[in-house]
Amino acid sequence: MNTLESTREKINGSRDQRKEQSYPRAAEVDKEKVIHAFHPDYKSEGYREIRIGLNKGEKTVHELADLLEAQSPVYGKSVSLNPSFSTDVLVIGGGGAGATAALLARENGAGVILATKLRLGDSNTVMAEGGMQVAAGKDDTPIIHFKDSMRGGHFKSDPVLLKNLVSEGPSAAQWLLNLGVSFDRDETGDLKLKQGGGTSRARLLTCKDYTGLELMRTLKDAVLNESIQVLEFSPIVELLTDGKGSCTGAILQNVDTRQWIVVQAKTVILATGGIGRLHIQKFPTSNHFGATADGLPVAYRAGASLTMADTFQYHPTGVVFPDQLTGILVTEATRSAGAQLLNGRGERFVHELETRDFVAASIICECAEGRGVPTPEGRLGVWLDFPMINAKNGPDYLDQHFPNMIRQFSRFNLDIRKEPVLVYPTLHYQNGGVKINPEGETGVRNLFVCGEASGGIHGRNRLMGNSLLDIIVYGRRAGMAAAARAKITESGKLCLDHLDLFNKERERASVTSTKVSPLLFPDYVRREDIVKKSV
Amino acid sequence: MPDGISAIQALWHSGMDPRHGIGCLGGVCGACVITWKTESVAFRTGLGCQTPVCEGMDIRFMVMDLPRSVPFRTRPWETIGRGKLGESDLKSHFLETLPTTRRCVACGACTAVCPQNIDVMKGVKETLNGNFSGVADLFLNCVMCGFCALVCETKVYPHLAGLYSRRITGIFLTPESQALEERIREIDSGFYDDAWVRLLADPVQEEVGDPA
Repeated sequence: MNTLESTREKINGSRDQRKEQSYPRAAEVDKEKVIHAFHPDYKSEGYREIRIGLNKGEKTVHELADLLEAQSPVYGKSVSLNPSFSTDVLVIGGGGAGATAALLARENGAGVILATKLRLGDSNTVMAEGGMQVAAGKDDTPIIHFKDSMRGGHFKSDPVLLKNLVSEGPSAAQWLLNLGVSFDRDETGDLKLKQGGGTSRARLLTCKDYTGLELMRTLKDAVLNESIQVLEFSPIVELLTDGKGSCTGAILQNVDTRQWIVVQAKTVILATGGIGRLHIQKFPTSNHFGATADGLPVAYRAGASLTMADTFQYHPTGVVFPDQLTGILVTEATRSAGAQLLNGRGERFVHELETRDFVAASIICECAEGRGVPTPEGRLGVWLDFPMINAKNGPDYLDQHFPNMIRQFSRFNLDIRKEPVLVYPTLHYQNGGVKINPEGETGVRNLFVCGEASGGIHGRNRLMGNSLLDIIVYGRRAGMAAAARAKITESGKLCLDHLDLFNKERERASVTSTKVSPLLFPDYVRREDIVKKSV
Repeated sequence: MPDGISAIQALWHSGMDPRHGIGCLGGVCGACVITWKTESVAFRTGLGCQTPVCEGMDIRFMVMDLPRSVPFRTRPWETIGRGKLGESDLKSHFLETLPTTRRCVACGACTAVCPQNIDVMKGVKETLNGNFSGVADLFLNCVMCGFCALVCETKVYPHLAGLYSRRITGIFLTPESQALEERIREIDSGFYDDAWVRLLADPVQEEVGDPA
C-alpha cells in the first residue's frame, strides 16, 4: 500500500537519480486511448442531450444543459423596460476580456458602460499565473504557433479564429506593454520567453507567476481612467432584443437591492467568463467566485448558438493535499521548469509537457488503477516534485520565478522548496462557448461575445497561455467591432419576445424544470462536502 | 468548525452568504482582506481565502470601497515616446498625480497592515526619491486591496503609488522589445500571407511542428 509518508520519503530520496532522467512522449494513438478512457469529457454518465434551442440534440454536461434549459428570472414577471441607462456599447463582465473590449470601444468613439457581477477585475484573469503565448521568438512564427494550437485542440479549432489569435498576438502584447504591463526580460533586455505544455517553441510572456494580476490591475486602472461608466455588483440576468433578432440591451440586477436595472445599448458585448463554479462532474475548481457561465444561458435564450459546449479543461495539477489547499492551482510553468509528476510507486508516468487533457487523463488513470496516493481525507493524487525545480536550476530558482506559489503554500506551513505536493486534476476552463465570427459577433445581430464565454478558438483543448492571449486579441476585436456597429445603429426597441419563443419551445419539449438561470453565485452555505472543494 | 478551513469557508460554514468581500478565492484579487487575533496573537491582517481559522479566533472582514484609480494621465506623454524620459522627469508628474504622497509621516501603519507583506512605507519613500523602478519591484505582488490607504492618517494612497510606479516603469523606463517589433513588422508586411493561404486551405492535414 502506498502511504503518503512512505512515498514522500521515497521521492525526496530519489531526486538526485531522477534529475537527468528523461521520459518519452506518448504516441498520438496512445494519447487518444488514455484520453478516451479517463478524461472527464468522455464520461458518458456526466452528459445528456440538450432538449431545446439551436444546439438541440447535442450533448453537454448535465450542469450546463440544466442552465441552458432553465427559466429566465424575469419571465412572467411584470418588468418595466424603461431604461435606467442608455449607451452605445454595453460590456458585461469586468475581467480581462471585458476591460479590453471596453477600452477599445471607448477608443473608437463609443459611449461605454461596463457592468460586472462583483468588482471590476474580479475574474479568472487575475488568477492566471503561467503567462501569455506570443510568437515573438527568433525561432518562432505565428504559423508554428497556429500549428501547435491546432494540434493541442485536436484539430477542432476554427482555423480563421485561430489565425487571428496568433497573428495579432505580437501587436496585442505591444498594446499591453504600452499600457505599462511589465513582462519578464532576459539578459539582453528583450522579452524572456518560457515554454508551455504541448508547444514546440518557447513563447510564454510572463510576469513571474503573477502574470494575470499584472495584466488585470493595469487594465482595471486603464478603464478607471477613461470615461467609461462602471456598474459593479450588477450581473446580467437577461438580454433584451427588438423582437426581430437583434440585441438591444440587457437587464442587470443589483446584487444588494435585488432591483432590476434596464440598460439600452446599440451593441452588447458579453465577456462573462467560464463555468468552473458549477463544479462539473463534482470536480473542484480553480475558478473565481463568480465563474457561473452567466453569459451562456442568456445568449442561448436570445437565439445564439454554442459550439463545443461539451468540452472542458481540467488542469492537471490542482492541489489535493494538504487538504486546506484543495483546488489551488499549481501553474504549468512549474513543470516547464522541471517539476516531475510521480505516482505512488515513485515512478514517472507521463511526459510533463504533454497537452493538459492528456496529462490530466494520465493522472486520473494512475489513480483509477491503484497507483495513486491516498490522502487522509480519502482523496487520491499523484506527487508533483517541486524541489526538483531548484535541483535542476539552482537553489534560488523557485524564489525568483514562483514567489506567488511559495507564498500560497507557506501560509499553510508547507515549504515547496523542500517538499513535493499531491495533485489531482481540477476544473479549469471552458473550451467551448458561444459561437462567434472573427469580429466576435454571435448569430444574434449586435450581440458580441469575447473571452472564455466564446468558443471555437481553442478546439477541444486549450494550450497554456492561449487564454490570456484570447482575452486581449478578441477583447480588442469585439470592442472595435461593437463600436463601429454602434455608429451605424439606432437605439432599438426593448422587448422580451425571445422569452416567449423560448418558453413555447420548453413546453413543446416538455421541459418542466423550475430552475432559473443565470445562476450568478454558487451555493456553499452549510455544505461541507462542497466547501472543502471550493478553496 | 472543521479544522484549518479558510476564513471565507468559515463564513459559509456558519450560514453566512455574503456577496461583498469575496473574489478570486486564490489570494490575488484583494477582495477579502481580514484582520484577526487570538488569545496569543495580538493583531494580524491577511486574506480571508488564504487564512486558516482556528479555535478562538476573532476575525473581521474589511470590505473596502476606496478610490482605487490613479488619476493617471498617460495621453500627453505617449506623444513623447517611450524610453525618452528619466526617473527625475517623472517625479514631478508623479507629485502632480498623487500630491498627498508628500504628507507621509513615516508612521509605518501601511506596512504593518499589508496582507502581502510588502514594505509599503519604503515604497512611498522611494517614490518621493523618484526611484520608480525600485518601487515597481517592491509592489510586484500588490493585490490592490487598498488597506494601506485606509489606515493612512495623512491620506496617502500607497497602493496607487505602487501601481503608478509599475505602469510608469513599464511605459517609460523599460527598453522596447526589438524582437516583438520585428515580428509585428514582419506580419504587417505580409511576410506570412502565402503560408496562411496554404495552411487555411488545409489546416488539419498540414504537418505540424514537433514539440521539442
